[in-house]
Amino acid sequence: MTNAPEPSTIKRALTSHAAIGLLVGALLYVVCLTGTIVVFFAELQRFEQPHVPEMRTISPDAVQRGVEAVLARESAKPASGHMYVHLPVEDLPRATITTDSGAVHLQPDGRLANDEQVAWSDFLVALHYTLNIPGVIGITLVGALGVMILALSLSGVIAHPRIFRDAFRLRARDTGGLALADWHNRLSVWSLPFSVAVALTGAVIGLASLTAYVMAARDHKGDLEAVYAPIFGAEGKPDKRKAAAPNVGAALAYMAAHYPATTVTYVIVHEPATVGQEIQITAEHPRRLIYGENYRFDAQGQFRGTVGLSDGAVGQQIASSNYRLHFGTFAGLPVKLAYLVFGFALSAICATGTYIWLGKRRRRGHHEPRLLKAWDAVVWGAPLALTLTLLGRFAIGNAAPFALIFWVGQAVLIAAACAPFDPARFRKVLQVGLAVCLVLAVVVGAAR
Amino acid sequence: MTADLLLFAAVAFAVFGIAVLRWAWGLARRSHAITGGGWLLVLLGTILGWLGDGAWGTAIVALGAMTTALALLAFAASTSKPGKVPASTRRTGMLPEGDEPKRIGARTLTFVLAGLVCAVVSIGIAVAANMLAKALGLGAADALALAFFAMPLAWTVLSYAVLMATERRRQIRILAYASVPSWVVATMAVMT
Repeated sequence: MTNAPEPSTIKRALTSHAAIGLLVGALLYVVCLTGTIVVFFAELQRFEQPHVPEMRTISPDAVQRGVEAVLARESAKPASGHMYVHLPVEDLPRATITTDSGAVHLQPDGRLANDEQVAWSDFLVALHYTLNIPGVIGITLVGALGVMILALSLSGVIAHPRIFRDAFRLRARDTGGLALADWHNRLSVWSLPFSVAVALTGAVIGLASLTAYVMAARDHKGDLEAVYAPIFGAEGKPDKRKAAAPNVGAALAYMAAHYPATTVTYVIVHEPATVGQEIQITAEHPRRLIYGENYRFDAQGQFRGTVGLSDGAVGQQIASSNYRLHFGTFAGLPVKLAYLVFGFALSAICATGTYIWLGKRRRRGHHEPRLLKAWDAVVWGAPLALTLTLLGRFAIGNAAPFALIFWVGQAVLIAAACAPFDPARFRKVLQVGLAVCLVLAVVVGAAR
Repeated sequence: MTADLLLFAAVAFAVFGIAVLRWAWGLARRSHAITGGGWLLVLLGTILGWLGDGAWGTAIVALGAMTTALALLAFAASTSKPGKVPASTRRTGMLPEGDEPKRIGARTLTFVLAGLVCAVVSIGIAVAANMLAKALGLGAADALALAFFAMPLAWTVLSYAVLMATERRRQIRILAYASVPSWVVATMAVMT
């Protein structure tokens, strides 16, 4: 007696595995690659804009001075719906205030420093979150890719009955396609918990809005905020009449006195400088996956209560654990490095899947050099195009058209795959081009 | 301090478990006892991680186990001998070969069923799960989180089931059964 699936089931699973992989492989690869890079979002911001005041901590009074200075600076501009104050933390020791009009760094004493210029880092995050497609479509598409990773994991395990038995068998020096298949299968098995975790959390983040829209239409007359309120809390009633600056300093002083074990990461002022303004402080809790607890204060800095992400309903704790689990920011540099390794492994799994399929067809007598080159243009071309965006950042500045550079660059490389170049030489040119651009980017970046 | 020790023990159990699995799967004859022992150690590490630090501890233990496995895999790759075992030529049936018909319409319909239709049906399942959870007395936050997780999971299972079905009629039957919660949700919405 055996537990192995029927051969017909295995064949069908392999077909569906290949179908999903081939249909979404290229987008999946771009999302996995960018996801791997943006694990280091904080470090990338420091690399992109190095000359910024940095500090280990900032006093509540200094933050208050910064908030008042920004509100004074923006008094002539249209009112901002929210004001976000990023406080210095280990991987990004900077204080930065962001409004609808822009973002500015703070000096340690709260005086305004230079404007934030991290458009390239933001572009990378947008590429990963939405593939640069605006509105709800982009994030939904990326969420759907998360579902596809889950379906690929399921069909992949079913399609390979010996996948666990052979889990340490890696014939890396076999010729004729076996090494590639071994790499694909072994990396898939051992990164399975990671793949499932990032795919599921990514799918939930990306697709929650679809379910929420239906629930908003059904239960809340289209009010989307009301759907999310049981988890993340509701915002107060807006009152647009002008008011004095909120007392953020008092709220921060309260946090330091009453919650010294937490790490305050953000202060969010809802409807700043209006009668309806509220202060929300987000603070990380040690050894937790939740992105933090939301502490609510009134405009005078009087504590009102917590939302319950750390100790409320299980649903609140699970939902607020999605983000750090997805981005690998829950235990400092060692976990980030692990995510880097597993992220590259997942990207390699995406890349090798299509190469395996092309190899099987080649061994059955179907030579498809254009398809092979087109896939090379994705696998080696995507990191090359990303590196070109970084060089664009150095050459043009913060206003460089990053999305245009990436997508046009990628399209040109795929179009070039249709030209009658030798496939091996085409791949070599892409690899050398990537290496040269990477070295150039590092040298230019370090020299600034 | 105690928490650190517990976490260290949890990771150590999981790492040792992976090492035992490596040994078990490298034996000439399969040993269920050693393989089971390896899995048990991994499970024990996971439980300890959960007991010590909840989901955070479990995540750390999982990363420790996976990193160990990757290190063992890297060693296997570095010590592998050159070989010429013929690789698989198994057909996946993704593209027609020779004179086979392209069946573009049928393939597109399969894509629409496994992609778009499964997504819509999954939203119905998620909303129905939310309603059912509330009816069973779960809090609003728990029911909402359940719905958010149910949607992608339902889509995964449904698209897999649709792609595994060999006949179009069976694919449609799967989707018809799975869409029952959506009809219930829609009916209740109309009635209220």
